Amino acid sequence: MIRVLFFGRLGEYAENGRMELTSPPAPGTAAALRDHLGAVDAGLGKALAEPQVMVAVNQEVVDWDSPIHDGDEVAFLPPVTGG
Amino acid sequence: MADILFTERERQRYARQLQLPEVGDRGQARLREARILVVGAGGLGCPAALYLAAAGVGTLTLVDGDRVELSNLQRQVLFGDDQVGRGKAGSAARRLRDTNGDISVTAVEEYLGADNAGRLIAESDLVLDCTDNFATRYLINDFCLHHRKPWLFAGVNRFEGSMALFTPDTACFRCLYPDAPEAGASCSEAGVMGMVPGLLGLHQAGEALKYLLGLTVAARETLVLFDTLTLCQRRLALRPDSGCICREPMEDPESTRQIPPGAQGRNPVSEPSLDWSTWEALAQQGDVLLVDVRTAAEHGEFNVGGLNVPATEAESRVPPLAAGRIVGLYCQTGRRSGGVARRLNDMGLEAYSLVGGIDGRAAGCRRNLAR
Ligand SMILES: [Zn+2]
Repeated sequence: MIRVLFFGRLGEYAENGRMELTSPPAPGTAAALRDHLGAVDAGLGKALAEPQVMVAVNQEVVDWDSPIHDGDEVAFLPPVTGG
Repeated sequence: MADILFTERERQRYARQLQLPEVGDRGQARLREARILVVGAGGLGCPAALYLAAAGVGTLTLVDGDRVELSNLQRQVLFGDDQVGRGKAGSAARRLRDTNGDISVTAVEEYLGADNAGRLIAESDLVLDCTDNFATRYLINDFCLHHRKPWLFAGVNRFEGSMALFTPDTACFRCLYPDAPEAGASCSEAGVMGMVPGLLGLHQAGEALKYLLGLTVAARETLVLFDTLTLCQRRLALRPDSGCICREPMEDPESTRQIPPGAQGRNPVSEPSLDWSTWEALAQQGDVLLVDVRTAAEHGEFNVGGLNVPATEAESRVPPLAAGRIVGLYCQTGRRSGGVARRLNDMGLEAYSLVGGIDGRAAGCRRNLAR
């Protein structure tokens, strides 16, 4: 099972800003998970495709080609740029 | 070794924190010796600077070229109705001196740019990013890398905020955000609750004080996220990106201003457009206005000095700035600056464009800031 968290305005696309997937979409990378979520919900897909959206796996910010394994927690973060 | 003699007035002022073993006389002396640069006197900068001043950070420099607007007062809590229309840095500095007359507060009523960032950052022990845009954050990042200074990033949006401490030995802001956004959401576009920058600004002050005191800084190489709707706080570890500029030796961001050997002595203004070496010679003359006509984002990403006036605003803004001086214009390729030079010359100014722009320079100069 994969636990997926959405921060900031990305939270609007999931109840309580989180969802669960039974397994990592093939080929098991953060980018594959992003693309899978985008295929299910076009609005979310568009929001995740914005530049500066970051991904963290198990509380560490990682590259989009990082692997995702069963049991991982994946978080998507929008940029927070105001002051 | 810091001088740890305090006046009776200081002992009373800082009594509550002097009794903390984590602070004590030694820690308070460190705070008094410290110099912090606060970039931006807005929603983040107001609370951050206020608590740094109250805590006794000895030298505070506030840099902000903005003026107070009515729409700022909802979150920029050092200002009131009477300050609307006044400079933010100066108004904030007066308020901080009122809070603590035992410290030195300097206001720089300019925007942080390539022309002043080197000096201001070199003179500081720590930089607080209290800005609202990516371009200035890249500028802070690159100059802090070069001068090996730590800086505290913070950003807010709607009901959430994030922060991180970057040091020369950790991941940097470009590791986190390699590419500048087309246009990031700012408070003016997306809206923000006033207490969100308040909260983040206080945490910036807190992390800054912990850094100066030699305590563990929780935000070090860690993106800390605050959600004020749920009151959830999360910490995400950052790792250096092996391809990032912070992993290679930095060149001097200002070194591009040096005149190449042999360029001196040329007549710098014999043509309406200039090649690079002539441009360098022109740049060395005191009485010249140098202008980058690219966007603010491009300017923040990398520039070769001068003011930033986007091409679309050049005809209205450059003539009063030039005030009779020769104008040197540049952009990325020379196309935009060439057009602006022609239009300004038509208006009676003496303006020159850098042929080939930044891209036309020797490739070795470009490596330092561009990814
Ligand atoms: Zn980096």
